[in-house]
Amino acid sequence: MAKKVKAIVKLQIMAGKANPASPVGPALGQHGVNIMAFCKDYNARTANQTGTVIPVEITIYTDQSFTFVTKTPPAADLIKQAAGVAKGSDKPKTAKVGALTRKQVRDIAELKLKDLNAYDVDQAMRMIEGSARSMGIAISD
Amino acid sequence: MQWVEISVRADGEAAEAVSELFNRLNGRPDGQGGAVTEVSGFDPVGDAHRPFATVRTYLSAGEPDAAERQRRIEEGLWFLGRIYPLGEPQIRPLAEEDWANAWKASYRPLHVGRFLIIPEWEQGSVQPAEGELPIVLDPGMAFGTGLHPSTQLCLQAMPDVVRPGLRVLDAGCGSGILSIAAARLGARRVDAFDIDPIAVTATLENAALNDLPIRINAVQSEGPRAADPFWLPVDAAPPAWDVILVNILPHVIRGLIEQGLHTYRAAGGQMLLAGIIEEREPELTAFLAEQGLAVRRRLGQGDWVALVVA
Repeated sequence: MAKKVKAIVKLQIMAGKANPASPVGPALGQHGVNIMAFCKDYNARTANQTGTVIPVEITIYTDQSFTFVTKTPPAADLIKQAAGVAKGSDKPKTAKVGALTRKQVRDIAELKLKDLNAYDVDQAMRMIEGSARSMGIAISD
Repeated sequence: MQWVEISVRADGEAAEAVSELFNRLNGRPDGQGGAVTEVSGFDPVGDAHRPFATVRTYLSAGEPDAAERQRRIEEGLWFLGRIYPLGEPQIRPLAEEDWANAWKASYRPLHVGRFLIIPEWEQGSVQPAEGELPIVLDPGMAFGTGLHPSTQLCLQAMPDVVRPGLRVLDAGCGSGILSIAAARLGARRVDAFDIDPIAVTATLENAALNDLPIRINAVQSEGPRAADPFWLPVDAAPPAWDVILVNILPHVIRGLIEQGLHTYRAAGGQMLLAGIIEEREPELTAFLAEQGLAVRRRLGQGDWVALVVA
């Protein structure tokens, strides 16, 4: 018989850096999940992406066992990384803080495609461009 | 440590907005803090297709800006509540003890290879079978409960590797589970180190729970450092252990070997490397070969691998 799901928990953790502090500890500990076992697994699977935030979706079963899948990094993080800026603009319409080339937008779109609600890369690119503009990052050709 | 938990019930779109707010106001550059979105209420009650989410964030009560952070979050939630249908924010204090030990309820005595792992609070409820070696353990917040495949692979491989009378080094000792296993197998000397002071304490405390024939020597260290007395000659020059156990992760194993960990083996000594996820194995074995280390034995469980190298 399939195991019964108790909860699905989504959080964002730095790749390779999960530890029992907040948010991992309280989020999983309250469900009786073995926190250290999760940290070890997550860190093993994300060790080669250090420096990026890798969101994770953890399914917790009624017997306290768990499985998890990692997602692609948040679009905003990838955009900031590619544009080489620490944060987005407070006034995205008037004050631009950086720029992305079409090639960079395409790279991000290709990476994010499986987690986006888009059928093809062109559609995904438009979503990434929208996110970039809303952060005050211009798109150059 | 004391925490303050702020949680809000919301449906899909609103949950995204709350999560974004928490990540913005309570996320740290190191990835700590931030939002936790939890979907629960599955069968038998609740509709799995339209589940409600609870979005939480945790503030460390000891931090100087905790009150200001909490005020800004509450303010942000009030504004979001004008746009989306949100539940009333629930704010409650949360002690670390409330969650850190909850998993213990499902941590039961466990047979692994020749060993019987007994949670400290289950002592007396179970007796090892004939020939079985007991390991009493309270892992606390340190790695190594015996539940993880990589620890189990080590425990399965150890009786062939750790022969009576050998000197053993446990690199990245965590809870001390492998150090205790080595002492149980008759090691003459067990030294252990970990980068995390919590692990060093856990190893010493767990060793004390086990009434071992030898004393386990555990220290905090980042790995081989000539100036550190731990890495000076053990019994004779050059420093030598017959068995080096490394149950960590491939990139850490690699880093330790680059620091020269493997050169601390005695003549004919072996290393037991674990915590290796299968997809990273080829890369690691190629590196080991470059260092002149040959794989003598390979053990696998699920997608985890342990290697005995010499």
